[in-house]
Amino acid sequence: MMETAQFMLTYTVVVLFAMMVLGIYGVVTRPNMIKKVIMLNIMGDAINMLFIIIGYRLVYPVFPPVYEKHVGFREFLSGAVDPLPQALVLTAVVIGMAMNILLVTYAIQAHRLYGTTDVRDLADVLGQERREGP
Amino acid sequence: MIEFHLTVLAIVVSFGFVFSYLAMKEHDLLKALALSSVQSTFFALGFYVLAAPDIVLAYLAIAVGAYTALMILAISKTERFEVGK
Amino acid sequence: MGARRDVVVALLLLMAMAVLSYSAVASGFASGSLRPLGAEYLERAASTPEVVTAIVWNYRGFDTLFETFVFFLAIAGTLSVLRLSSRQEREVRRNEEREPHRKMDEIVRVITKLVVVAIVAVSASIAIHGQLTPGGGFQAGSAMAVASLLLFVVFSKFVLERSGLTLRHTLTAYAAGLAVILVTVFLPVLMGGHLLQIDLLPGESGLLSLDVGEYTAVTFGFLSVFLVLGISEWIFKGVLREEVK
Repeated sequence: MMETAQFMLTYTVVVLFAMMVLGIYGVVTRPNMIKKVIMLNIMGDAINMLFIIIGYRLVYPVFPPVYEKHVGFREFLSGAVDPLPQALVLTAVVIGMAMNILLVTYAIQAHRLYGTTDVRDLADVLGQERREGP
Repeated sequence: MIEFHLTVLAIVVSFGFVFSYLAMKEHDLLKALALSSVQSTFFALGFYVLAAPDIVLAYLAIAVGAYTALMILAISKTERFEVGK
Repeated sequence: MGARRDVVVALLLLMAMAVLSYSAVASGFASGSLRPLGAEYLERAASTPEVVTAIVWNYRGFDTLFETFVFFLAIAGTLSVLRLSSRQEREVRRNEEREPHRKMDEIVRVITKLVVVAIVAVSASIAIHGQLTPGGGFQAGSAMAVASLLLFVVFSKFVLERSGLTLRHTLTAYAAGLAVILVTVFLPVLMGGHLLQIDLLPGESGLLSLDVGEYTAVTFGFLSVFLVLGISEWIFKGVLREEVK
């Protein structure tokens, strides 16, 4: 029985690594800045999920790390998942949103000043500006 | 019955992967955003299966609500279509 | 040229993925046993039932404190990119009054009011009850960010500002949230302990005030950024054009 669980977990981990790589690939190859932010987020989601899986336990009555009185303390200890990755990911999710806001603001400001969010066009415009002065 | 939880998790993560692949292939940014928020919804389900209620509370509000609204605002202020090949 | 480069990038990344997943699987990713650090945190659960909040603000409080600073830096960076002098601010206000004022349907507005009241109540209970049930400052703040966005979409930015939620006020509230956090962090030093040693404070008031401070900070940080981002494009472009001249 434990083999099935192990196999499922391995499969999930491999898919999550594939998704992380997909996110990096999108960031590298897509020219649009907004699209880059979307792909960066997909990568971040995959990494957060991997973090949570590190703290998961392969035991059957599995509890979230919130102690309730009607479950005995021994039973809680034998079934609760590791709370540390959850605490780390919790802040990472909210800070990631603030970082998104910062990145998106840069994209919007680039569009206001240079009329494009395509990094290739932006490189052209900036190179021209450097040669000829603003 | 841990197998059941892990099977649900595997299915949810696979769907998330498929939708994020579609989001990468899409040249219309609004459609790509919609596909990536479907992926976020699946991942919220995945966090619930992994016994992380704190993360679900924060992640659902951020990734499905605030993030989507922010990106729609950004797309409406810049360009809707990614100039692709 | 472009396609060949994409193929090379994809192959390299696939190789990285193979190596990473092999090493992760070979090292035994998850098992039935806990790691020692996690077990240590869980064993103190009898006194603090919600272990995640306890870790966030007590056992690993400095991590969270500096995460709060990172959040502050992101918000400050956004606001400094989109900064307006007071003369430009007046001009923006003048232009916004000329802008055609769209109103949503009566039904949508009434339902939004009800839903926003519900979200505010739920998020306050998430924040204040954070040491007993799943929840805390970060979760409640992100729920409130959704509520403020909802108000923002259904009633326009103009209505929000007329009813008192101007940028100045939201930034003041954000600073107040940060101040609550900093006071709670430094108070134990005055009582003869270390930084962030919140168990010196009476009862659970340390966790409570940190949660409430984080709740205020996250809520108003997001709201003030959205207030600046919500300025219409043509107004902001006009302001920028004058600045360049």
